[in-house]
Amino acid sequence: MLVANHATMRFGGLTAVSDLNITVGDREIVGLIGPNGAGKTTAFNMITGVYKPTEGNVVYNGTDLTKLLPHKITALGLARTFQNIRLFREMNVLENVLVAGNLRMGVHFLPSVLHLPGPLARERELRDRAMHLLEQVGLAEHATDSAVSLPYGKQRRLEIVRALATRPSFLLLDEPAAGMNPQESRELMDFIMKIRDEFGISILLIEHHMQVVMGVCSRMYVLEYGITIADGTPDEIRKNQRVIEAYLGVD
Amino acid sequence: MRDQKKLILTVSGCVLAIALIFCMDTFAGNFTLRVFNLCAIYIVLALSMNLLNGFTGLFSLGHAGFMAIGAYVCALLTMSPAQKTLNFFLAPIVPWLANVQLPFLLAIVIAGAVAAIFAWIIGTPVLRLRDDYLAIATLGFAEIIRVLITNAQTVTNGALGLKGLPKYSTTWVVWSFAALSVVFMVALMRSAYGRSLKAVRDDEIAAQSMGIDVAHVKIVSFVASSFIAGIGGALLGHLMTTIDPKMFVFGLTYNILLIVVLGGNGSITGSVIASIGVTVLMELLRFLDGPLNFIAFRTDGLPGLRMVVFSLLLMIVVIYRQKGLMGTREFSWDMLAESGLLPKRGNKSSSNAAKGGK
Amino acid sequence: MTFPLFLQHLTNALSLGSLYALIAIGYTMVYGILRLINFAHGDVFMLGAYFAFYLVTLLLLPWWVAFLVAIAFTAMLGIGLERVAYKPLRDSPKISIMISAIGASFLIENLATVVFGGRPKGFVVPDMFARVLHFGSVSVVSISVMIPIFTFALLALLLWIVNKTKTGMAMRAVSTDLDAARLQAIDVNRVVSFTFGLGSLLAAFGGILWSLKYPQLNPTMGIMPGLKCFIAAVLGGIGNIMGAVLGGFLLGLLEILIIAFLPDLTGYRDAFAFVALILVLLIKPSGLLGKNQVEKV
Repeated sequence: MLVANHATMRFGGLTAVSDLNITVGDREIVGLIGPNGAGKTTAFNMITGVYKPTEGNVVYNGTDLTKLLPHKITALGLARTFQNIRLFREMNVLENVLVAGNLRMGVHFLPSVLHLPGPLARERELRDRAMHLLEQVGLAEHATDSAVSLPYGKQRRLEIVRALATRPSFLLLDEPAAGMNPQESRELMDFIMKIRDEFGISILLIEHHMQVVMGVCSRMYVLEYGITIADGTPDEIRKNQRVIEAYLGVD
Repeated sequence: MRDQKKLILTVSGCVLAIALIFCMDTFAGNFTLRVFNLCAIYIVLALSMNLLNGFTGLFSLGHAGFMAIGAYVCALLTMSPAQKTLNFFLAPIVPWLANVQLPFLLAIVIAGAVAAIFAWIIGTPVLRLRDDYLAIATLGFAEIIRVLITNAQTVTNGALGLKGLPKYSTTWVVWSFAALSVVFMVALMRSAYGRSLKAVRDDEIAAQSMGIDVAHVKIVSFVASSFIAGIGGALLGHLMTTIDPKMFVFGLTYNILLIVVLGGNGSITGSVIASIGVTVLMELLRFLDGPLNFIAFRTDGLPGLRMVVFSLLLMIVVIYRQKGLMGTREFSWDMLAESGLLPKRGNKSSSNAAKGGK
Repeated sequence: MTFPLFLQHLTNALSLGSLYALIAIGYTMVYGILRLINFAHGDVFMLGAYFAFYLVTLLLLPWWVAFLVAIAFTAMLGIGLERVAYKPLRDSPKISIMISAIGASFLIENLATVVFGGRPKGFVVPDMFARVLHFGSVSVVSISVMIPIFTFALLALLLWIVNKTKTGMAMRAVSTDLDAARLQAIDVNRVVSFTFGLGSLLAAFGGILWSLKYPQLNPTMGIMPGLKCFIAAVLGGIGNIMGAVLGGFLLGLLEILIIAFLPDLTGYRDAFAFVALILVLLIKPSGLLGKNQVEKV
């Protein structure tokens, strides 16, 4: 279970996120929505250790994440994707996934370089698992293609699969449906729910595609200028006056 | 291409290379042999820089410093007590170094290790810095090392340098080290750890988010690179048989950077080709620094012209073809076959069928 | 250490500090705008001195004309350098532009060696700069006093340009956010050229003043001062003009005073700046007057 307690992020004079209190339980899919610049990605960055909150903390299954470096947080089981896709551009599709698998495989310099039998065997297992993951999203045929040569929608899928390769128990998705058409969005919705069911993962989702958010999330939080202005079920949020104003503006 | 065919080609290639080295060693004149061996040493040095710069994305300009450490440690550990007394006429050498004389292989490994230790000490704080600051900080350390060497009269003989280093950098020795470096780099880049290095290069933040301990990877890369650079420096010292602080100025790092950029930052093949190409070209163009007879003109030596040419070359490459010769691609027998340079069996359709079958 | 001797050292320190400040400003302005360490800046300093030298000795111009022409010419050269070596790489990874800068630096140094000859030349120092002045028991060379005065005058002019003119405001805008400035219809190319021109102008001034005090010219004379002045700019807070001035003076003071009080360390003179650099980068990378910058994820 993930809990953010009064998490606040200040950059000099600017408060990007103020008093964030969110909870995500096991196997829940929770949404984080709000107009652009509301602080959603900043919230992600606070959770994943890229930023250290100015105030407050974030606790995952009892461990205080704000004291940890990002790679340690990933080791704890939280993986993420990025708003501006951050694939490893000099690597191909398969390699991007393999890199993420290094974490659970345990990679050390000398044994790795010397191609000792132990690491080699684990490497083979990793490759099989990676190919399997790629097959699940229909990217297996692109395995040796350059990661950044893929169309935008497929790149987003690759990023999700890469995050899954770290064997997370919690997944943070930053606008996974960006740039997708309705058909692709629907496939993505199914994929997200499938991941949750098959891998038993909790998911925190930033998204602007209302169709996706309302469709997969059991709850959501709404941010505006860093402040949480509402939280509740999709139905409640849909009818919330404050939320409507935030998105459409006030006359 | 079938794996069996590739294996045959690779083995043949190695045999040819060994034959070439043997011929050069036996028949080549002193000067030519020296240039030939210098190529090998630059392969070692270029690869060590490429590891850090091209594969891990750390722009460090401190190479000359680690080379200096390697060269001096190896020299001091292999020179005979008599040679040392001869050199240290201004101030006697410190007692604990005076009588040490170790076999070359042991000394060179220790030299690399000392350079690696310095790298570890320097790297731990410095590698956190952003790329341009990292460059200046490492450059700063290289200069500090040089100043320290120049002033440590009783340990390094200061500005006078050391003369009469034993001629351990023979043809087989340097080319063995070159081959070893290539094998090491290929093994590393194909390994899981190599993937972590490349991830750090491509996107540090994403790498961290995928569970890679970026700080640790950077240090490992820095230490490994400096270990090899130290060995390269030692090999250089024992080829030149004299070393002094002025050898290890920033210009030396620049030469290696030149080679790496020209060959392709991130390509092992590129570094090998460029090392040989640039070393040979540097020697061939030496005439530019001397008196020139150009039709009706005659100039009395224009020292520096050679470096002007190379600097221009570097800038043209970096501006118009940043990727250098190979970019991040590596040599493969498939590449050679596709370019039509290898004899083909049968016709096109059969080779296509073979591709489809696999 | 006697008091007069100390004063003498202090004057030297102030002169050196002023010179470092003049050169450091060029680095900091360019870095502020392009996030580029202009490795070739120290060589521009060297060229300013050489041009002045040749204009006086070859073309036999009166010194004040020669100096002004040399400065103007060097400024134009700085603009040209940017156009050729840096502008094509503006959208490339940072490493490429750094390599180009280093390449340009070596190119200029070697070209200078080829054209001017590697042997040191003696700068022509007009009498008014070489006169020895006496203040009580303290004697100083006139140039040592004039350098800080000139520097402050130039600095005042520079600050007026940066803070009170439209171009200066454009410079500050580009320095803060290049893309946003472009969107505000600021001609970024002109601003960059102007910055390089201004920085090179100051470097040329520095080169001439330097040669008046230390009259030995050689093609590599810009390397050490160049490196040290970049360090000075970092020390004061890179991107900040007052920071560069502060850094320059601090470094000059540090160098001279350490030698003065600990003459045994003279051999390590060049290392002080580097040690200072490492310390700053580790303790407060944004420098004394700088602000912290956060990367957007």
